[in-house]
Amino acid sequence: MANKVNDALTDLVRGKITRRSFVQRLTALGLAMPAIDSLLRAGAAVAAESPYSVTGDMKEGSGGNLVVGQESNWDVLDPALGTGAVTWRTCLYQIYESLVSRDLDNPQGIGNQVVPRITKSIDQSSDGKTYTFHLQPGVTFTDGTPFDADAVMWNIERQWDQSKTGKQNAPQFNKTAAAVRSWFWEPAQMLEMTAPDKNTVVFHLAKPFSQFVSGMPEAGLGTMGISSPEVWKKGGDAAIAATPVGTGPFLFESQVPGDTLIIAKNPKYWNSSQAAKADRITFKALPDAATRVAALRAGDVHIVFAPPTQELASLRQAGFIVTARPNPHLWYLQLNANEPYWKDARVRQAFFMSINRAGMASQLLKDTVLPAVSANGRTCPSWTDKAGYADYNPEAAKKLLAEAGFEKGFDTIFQIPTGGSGEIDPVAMAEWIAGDAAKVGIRIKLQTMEWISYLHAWASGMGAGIGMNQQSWGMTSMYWPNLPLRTSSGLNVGHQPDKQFDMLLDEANSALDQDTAIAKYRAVDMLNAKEMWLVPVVNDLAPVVISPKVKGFVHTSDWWWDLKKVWVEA
Amino acid sequence: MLTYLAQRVAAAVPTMFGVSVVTFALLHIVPGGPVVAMLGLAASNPAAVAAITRDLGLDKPIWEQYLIWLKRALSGDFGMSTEFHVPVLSLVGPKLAHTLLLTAGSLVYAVVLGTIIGIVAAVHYRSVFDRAAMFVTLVGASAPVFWIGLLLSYLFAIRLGWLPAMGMTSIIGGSSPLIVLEHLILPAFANSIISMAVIARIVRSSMLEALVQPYVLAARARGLSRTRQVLVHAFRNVLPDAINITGLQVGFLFGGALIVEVVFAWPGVGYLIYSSIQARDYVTLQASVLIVSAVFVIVNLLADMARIALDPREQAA
Repeated sequence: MANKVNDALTDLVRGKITRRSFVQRLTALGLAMPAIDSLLRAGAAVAAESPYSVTGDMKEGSGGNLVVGQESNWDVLDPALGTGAVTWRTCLYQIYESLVSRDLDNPQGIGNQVVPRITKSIDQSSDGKTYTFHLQPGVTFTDGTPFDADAVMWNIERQWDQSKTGKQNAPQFNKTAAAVRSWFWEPAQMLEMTAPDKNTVVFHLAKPFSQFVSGMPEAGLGTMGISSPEVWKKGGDAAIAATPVGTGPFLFESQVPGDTLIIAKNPKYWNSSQAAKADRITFKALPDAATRVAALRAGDVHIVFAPPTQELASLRQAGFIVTARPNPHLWYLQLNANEPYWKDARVRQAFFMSINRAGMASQLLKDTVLPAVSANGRTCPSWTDKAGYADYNPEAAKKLLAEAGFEKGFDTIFQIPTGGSGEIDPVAMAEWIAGDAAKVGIRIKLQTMEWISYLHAWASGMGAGIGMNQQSWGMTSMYWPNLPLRTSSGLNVGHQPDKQFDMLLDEANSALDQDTAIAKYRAVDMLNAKEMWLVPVVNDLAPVVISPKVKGFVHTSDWWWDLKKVWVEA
Repeated sequence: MLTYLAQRVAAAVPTMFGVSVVTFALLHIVPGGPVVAMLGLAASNPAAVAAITRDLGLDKPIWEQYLIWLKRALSGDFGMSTEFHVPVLSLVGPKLAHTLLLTAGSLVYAVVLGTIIGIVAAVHYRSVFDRAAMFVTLVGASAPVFWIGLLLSYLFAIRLGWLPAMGMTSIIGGSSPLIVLEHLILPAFANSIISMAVIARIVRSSMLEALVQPYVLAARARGLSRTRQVLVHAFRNVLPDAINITGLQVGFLFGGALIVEVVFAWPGVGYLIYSSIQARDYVTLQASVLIVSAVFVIVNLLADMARIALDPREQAA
């Protein structure tokens, strides 16, 4: 039992499991709560000594101009259209608010629970087909216009394609917004929205959708940030991009596209207890990693995202704080089901078992990632390290290959981008995988491409001759496996043919309570652990480097960065 | 002179047309387009890709797309950026001015320091200074601009803290002309090094040639000082070569500025082109390349005119 307790404690310290899972595992081992509590404290103490902390200095205070060095420029500052990661992840989140959010500024545990933001409460009908959102009264957009049920419905009509229910789309309907958000509105199968009063919106769905609420704060494929309809009425989509207006703790001040974006504290923020601490935030696009680090060292910026891994140790020595934390990220491969060698599940398993993911995490990526043990991101409620994914075992992999008739191995091609959003260090990681696979006889030839060219090839689905490709993504919402694993999904780029996934996903999507949904989505993960169409590799901890002048910084446990409690000491 | 000018301007028209055709064609050859960049991972939805491609007019034959673009461009409408959703000219205009400022700063360094080094090396032919200068210029001409930029940034911004590491203005201190000048020092110097080395070597060799000409001997015979022999008599005859190479270097400095901008986060047209390629923002890229090409044509024309104005032999020809 001592070994099992040790394992659980190690997993907790490394961020592999939540405090809740830790308690569950130890309770199952028969430990009493006081003993578990003391172990939790011990875990917290060890975690405090780990190279990467979750927070910076949490000193109370306010003020300052926080300067953030971003790894690329933001694109359009429209919550329905901005698809670039830095656009929605950092910039838009401070300006716009969604109906619901997640607990991002809590340094404890994993903030995967949905929390109301501009919604006061949500009622779900017993049949799971009606959701009633009670909005916060008295909220206004930063242009002074009221935030109410009409504004919510106006924003949703901009991205919800009503023509699929036989109705006419609203004038503000935008095809691009609808396309990027279709992953949410198509399974939601919404029939209509109604507003019984100015602070209530009722969503009527054709059938239950267990991820209706948890899917709302998801980004990556559009967001549900609410913008002022008045801006659009004055100047259309271009006006939203030029003068973004939301209800958030910061308001747009100015931008030089591709260079600098300045937002200022919203002095009339509706929730005074959650008002912004910094006077101003300046986002600076610094695409060159060396330049970002130089700017940080010279004191020109206070925070840099995506720092070069090899610089982290020296930055810490120079007094900067490196933070890192599990988030929904998953770096994964998809195997092409049309290639004959992958037809046998033993071959797919053998390939997975040949990859030394822990070695990649510690040696190649210096502990800035964790080895993946699930097809879900680590913040997803259905994430578990008990889904049944095999350990690294090249000897067993060789045996499996021999049993499947591939004693001499086989040749395959791996398509990979040279860089891109959330890709970490894709070519080096692909070379690591190819090196490991070669040891069991799988000879991989890399085919590298620039990001947009790659995205084009990836989105078209793998063609003949391509054995596998790669993507980085994940969601805190449990809906995520529907995207790469449902047979009819456009993101099933490997053409996995197993309808068992569809059946389990349908059950999970239509579950009426979250516990049932968790169990069902875990069953999907377990099926993948057996069938191995999606090969999970690592989860990024997304290190960030901050200046000691930055106070109140909490490393997010989601994609979004909440900067309202951050301030800068003079 | 006017006839020459008219001929050069007339020759610029087909050049610009060719640039626009080649840029347009190259953009469409590269896999992935603005729709994929706009949709990101949602590009896996073929119906959405088709609908937006149609809306943007990208389903039309490439020649038809080009003619539509040309017609609008000739009336001054370069369209809206598909990445930022703002008019392209409002993006390119200010950034072009920033790049020209960086180019001008680099040119000042290259011409002033390059000329001084070249003259001193020639006057002190085969001295320690001459050998050292030629070695340093050889290394300077061979070193990548981005590497020099990072070294300068590390030394003067991080180690010594004398100069800012990036940007054109201070985010906290504002944007007075003095602050812009302070930010210009490092990127302009980094960008100038290769051109400085080239100018120094050309000036040195021209000066060596000039110093043995009979008119310099005559000047010496008349008892003129060494400085006067060099700067008044020999240097005037070095000038045409120096201007010629400087004219060529302006284009090179402009091109180099595009790289230096990324290293020093200088908000110029170089980074705009870089990000437009990444985002497949055809509209911005097309306008940027065309405007940058126009600048190249104009700069080369001005350099030629300056050379003619300063060299009586050219005027006679």
